[in-house]
Amino acid sequence: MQRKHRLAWRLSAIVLIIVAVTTLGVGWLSNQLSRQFALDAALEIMRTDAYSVRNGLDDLMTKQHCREAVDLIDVMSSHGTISKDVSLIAHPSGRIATTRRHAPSTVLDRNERSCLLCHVTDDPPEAAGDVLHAVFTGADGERRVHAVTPIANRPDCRTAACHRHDESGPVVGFLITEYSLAGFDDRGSRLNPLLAATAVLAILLSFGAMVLMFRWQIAKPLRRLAAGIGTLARGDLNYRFPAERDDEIGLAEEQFNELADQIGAHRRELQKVRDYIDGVVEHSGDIIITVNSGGLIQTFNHGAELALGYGRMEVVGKPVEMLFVDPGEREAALAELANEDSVRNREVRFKTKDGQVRHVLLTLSLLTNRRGEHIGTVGISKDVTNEKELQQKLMRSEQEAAIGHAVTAIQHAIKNMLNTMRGGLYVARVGQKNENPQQITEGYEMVEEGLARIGDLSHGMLRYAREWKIEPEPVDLVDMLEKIALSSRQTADEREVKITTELDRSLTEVSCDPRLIHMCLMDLVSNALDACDMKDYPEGEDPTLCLRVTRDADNRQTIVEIQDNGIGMLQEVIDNVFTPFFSTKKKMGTGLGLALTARIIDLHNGGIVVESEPEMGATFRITLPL
Amino acid sequence: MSKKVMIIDDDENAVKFLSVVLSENGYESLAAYDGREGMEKLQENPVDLIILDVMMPKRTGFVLFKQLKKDEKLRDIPVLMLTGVAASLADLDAESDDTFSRPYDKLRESLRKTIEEMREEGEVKPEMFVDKPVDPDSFIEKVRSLIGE
Repeated sequence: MQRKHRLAWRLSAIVLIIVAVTTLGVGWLSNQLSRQFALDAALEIMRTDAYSVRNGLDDLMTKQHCREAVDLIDVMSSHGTISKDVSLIAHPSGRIATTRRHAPSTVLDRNERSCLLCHVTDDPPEAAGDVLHAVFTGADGERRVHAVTPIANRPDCRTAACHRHDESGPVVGFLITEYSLAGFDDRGSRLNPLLAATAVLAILLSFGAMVLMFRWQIAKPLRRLAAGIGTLARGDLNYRFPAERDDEIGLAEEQFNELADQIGAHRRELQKVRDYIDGVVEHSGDIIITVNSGGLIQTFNHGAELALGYGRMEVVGKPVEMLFVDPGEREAALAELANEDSVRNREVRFKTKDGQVRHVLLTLSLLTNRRGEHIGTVGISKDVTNEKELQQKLMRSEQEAAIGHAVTAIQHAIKNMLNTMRGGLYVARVGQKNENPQQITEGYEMVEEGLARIGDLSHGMLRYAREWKIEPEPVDLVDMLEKIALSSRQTADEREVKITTELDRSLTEVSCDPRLIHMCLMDLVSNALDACDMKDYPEGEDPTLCLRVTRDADNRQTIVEIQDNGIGMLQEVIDNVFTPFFSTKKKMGTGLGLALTARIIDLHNGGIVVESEPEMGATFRITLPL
Repeated sequence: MSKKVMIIDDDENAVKFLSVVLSENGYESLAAYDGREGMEKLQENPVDLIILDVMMPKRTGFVLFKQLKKDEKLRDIPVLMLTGVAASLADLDAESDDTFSRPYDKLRESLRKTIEEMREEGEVKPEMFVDKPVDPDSFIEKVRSLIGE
């Protein structure tokens, strides 16, 4: 926008208008005042004249010469002081006429002694009130003032022969005079053009002075301030005003300097942050690539160069598809981005410059500008090729290890059983040699037991390895635990184990497979009874088994606990208690019971943990989601 | 008069087998099926040798062993200990290069540690351990070496 330097002109014009209006007002006022002064002066003269007339008349009365009074009036008329109309007071007959209060015909004898006494010795008569006046403007523009001066009554000379006095009235008559204001008005009108010219000149001069002053004092500093702000706006933060003004402009300049300091500080801070972020991006071990909305690579960090083998100049501006082993993977990631707003750790494959495949975890986010429009994407990828290889290797190792464990465990179990059978055969052979039928029977029983245990193992293995499917339905776990407690009571009594229950009866039904959960719980109860059986209880302690069902604090899980105070377990046993084929039970254990239980609880999205210490018993805790 | 051997083991089959092996070789055998029973019977019947299973419920073989060593009457009777892991104890000594830990390794390790401690206290000797189940011939050989015919 084109800016004109008009401030000084505008301000000057405003001031000028104010001055002009004021001048006109003052002119009008002074004109009015001068006219009033003229009137006041005329009235003063008239009053003096009226006074003179009255005195004159008094005087004339003493001189007994009416003609002289008329002459005096003539003289005064010629001065313009007294109107001819006043001739009423001097009758041409040489007698003084009274005002109209008395009939014009009333002629008084001025030679009366009483009048003489009165008029000679007394003070001149006072005006009996204010002079009433009115100004008239004639057709020629001449102003004339007409005045009526009342003449006070003198009650003490009412008996005088010279004139009759009305006793009641304070006024005996009125002196009517007329005076022209032309003389005063002429003088005023001669002065006015000069005044006007002087005023105009003064206004013009002050206007010029104001324009200059405004330009110099306001417009120029403001332009300088604007220029400074402009410099700042263009990015030069070093511009400062000298601190030399102590007025409001100086304050503005000071504020500008402070603002510039602050902007400078903020910019340095911003630059630091930016440098830091740039540094982080550049030196990040991750692959960080930004792509514009057209799919072209915009930035390519050092991590990307290292991982993919390209220099950034080789790839910036190229389609990002070139980095993907399968461009379909990029499209799938973009589709996910469109749905979810961000993609986190999506596994994709990049190819390096020399054709190698790198497995990366891609985290993709949308880039938006200030208006919120999508201008591209930023992808942060972690090269997990090595981890992946390691993971695969680990998986193979774990599989091998698991197979190793199983094989060792099975071999161990079979060895034990074979030895039992071998022992049995030995006993039977000895019995045969000694012709001891009981020994033969015992030997064969041992062989049978070994065979039965191999059968159990084989059955257990099959059971464990089969594909378990849960068929959930609402189950009253409180009821189930009560029944388990009841059905275990006989075995428990035989082994002198006391069974107690702590059941939260407010518990609602839990969704689970009743058959499988029952099997797991029975297995745990059986284990707990065995653990009690194996402990040498000290005096005062009785074998106890507690079945407990509660809810967690959040009311999100059901907790079932099978607690015994039996032999307990070493940490080494606890660590492996859910491992298949791990058993510390000599005769009966296949090492598959707890492993299967854990698997079934797992299928219910639940959890199973055990707390135990040797000789202190064990608590198996199953959690099932509500 | 034949020499008396006390077998303390919770595994009935093992007891049966060992007693047949012993009687076949001219020894008289007594049996107990847990540590407590074993101690009770030993108080009443003086024997020449005690065969003790390490892995037993109630009182383990080690606990019982320590009790025997504290007992004036019983402390000088030689003891043969049966373990399921005697062979693997030797393996562990030889520092097997097997990289995968197996479920029993830790158990063996703890057992080995207990035995180490007892060995340091001069209470047990490596030759006292016999792997279980037992080969009749080597078992009898061991018994003979301890108490003679």
